[in-house]
Amino acid sequence: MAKINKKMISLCTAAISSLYITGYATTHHAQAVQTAQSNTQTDASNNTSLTSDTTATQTEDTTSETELTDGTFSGTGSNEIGSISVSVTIKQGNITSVEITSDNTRYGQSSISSLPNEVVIRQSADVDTVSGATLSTQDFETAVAQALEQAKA
Amino acid sequence: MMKWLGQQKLITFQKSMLAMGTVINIQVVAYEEDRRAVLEDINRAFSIFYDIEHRFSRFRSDSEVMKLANRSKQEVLVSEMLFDLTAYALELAELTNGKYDPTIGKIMEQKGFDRLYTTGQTFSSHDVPHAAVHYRDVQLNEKNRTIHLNKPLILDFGSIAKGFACDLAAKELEAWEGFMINAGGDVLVSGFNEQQEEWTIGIRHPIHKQTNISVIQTTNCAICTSGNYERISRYDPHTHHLIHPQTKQSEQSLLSCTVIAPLGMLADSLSTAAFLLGREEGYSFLAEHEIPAVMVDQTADMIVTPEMKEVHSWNHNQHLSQTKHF
Repeated sequence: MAKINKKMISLCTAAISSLYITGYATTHHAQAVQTAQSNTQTDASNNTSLTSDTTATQTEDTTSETELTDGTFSGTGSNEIGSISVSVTIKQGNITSVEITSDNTRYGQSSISSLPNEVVIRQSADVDTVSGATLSTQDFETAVAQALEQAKA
Repeated sequence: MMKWLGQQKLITFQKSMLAMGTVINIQVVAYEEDRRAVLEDINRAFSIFYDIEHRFSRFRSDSEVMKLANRSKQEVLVSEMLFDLTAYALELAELTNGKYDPTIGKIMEQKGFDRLYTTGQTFSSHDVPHAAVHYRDVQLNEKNRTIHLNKPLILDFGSIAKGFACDLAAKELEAWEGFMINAGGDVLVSGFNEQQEEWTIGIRHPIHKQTNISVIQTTNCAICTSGNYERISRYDPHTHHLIHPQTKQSEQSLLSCTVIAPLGMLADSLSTAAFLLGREEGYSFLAEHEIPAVMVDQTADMIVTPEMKEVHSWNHNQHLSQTKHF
């Protein structure tokens, strides 16, 4: 590792610290706390359309020709490798997060992801995680599309 | 090895989301009493992924990268972050004689890597012409922190941004005993897992994808893999996403290249750069820089750098246990 170009390392370090230079961190943290709170609400009421903010003005919607309603929407998809559920959050007409709420595919973490935020049961034969070529989100498309259908309704 | 503090046992909290066009899994090792604070930190870490995506996406016209794309022949004041990432990418382009080139965005779009993962909608940058561009068409002004593009061009941070986001997200999680971030195959580990051991990370077999070619045990570093087996062009099944800027063809001498480095953005970008350099040149590049790495070539042979031999690892082929994790 010693010979990784020093310039490369210092360029990396500069980039990583740039997040904290412009006062970005403070506002960013405030937003994150809000996200955490809204997630808790989501957990409570579980399924489909939570809130619909009808007063929100829909601005620059680059992702879809149909306007999306604000709120949290869940969708499920299945294919030959199993089934997947997601929870899509929309704010001001834009998708702000997509959480995987359960994943029963053979690529997924069946024992784990069905219990989001719960204790991971790790079997000794398993590895903690796997490094590989960037996974595609293809398996999640149906589930996300279903959630978005609800947001368009 | 189990560590008990009073009556408490370390447990793993985890959450998975889709961001940056892939699956992100975060695990944090902590005590039950800290559940709330841990989950808040995990949410912060995820919001970093969405923020980085927003800034650097090629698929949205309001990202900083796309706003910059057609503002050529002028000094453009950009964010610190875009400036610094560009500076890094240009340095890597120099080091690899342009085999790695961050100006490849338009070519990626042409090859069908133009689709937003959430809605499936394609994005086309009509205001950026198809033209030959080169990383030397990007000039940085260190003093004014501006970028000057000689021609309209799309910067592509596809091989840096995930690793970079891991580095930033790690800062949100550093208070805890241990954590692991897996951004669709790019892994960053810190501290220990709930068994109080270093993390075990499988390296996916590029053909038999449910198995690992090797398992390593390590911590406080990033392990990133570039491979030809997940992202395939929508127009041509023989073209994958690791494309040569000059020939516009994808590299064929390797199936995958895994790099271990102290930072996510280093591991992410070096694995891509070495993949593009190919079997021989890529190996020399990694060996010369003393980087632990594992390559799998066309014939599925494993090639490891001398530094990799010092990493605690074992071949997993003897007992092909199904890997259940991302």
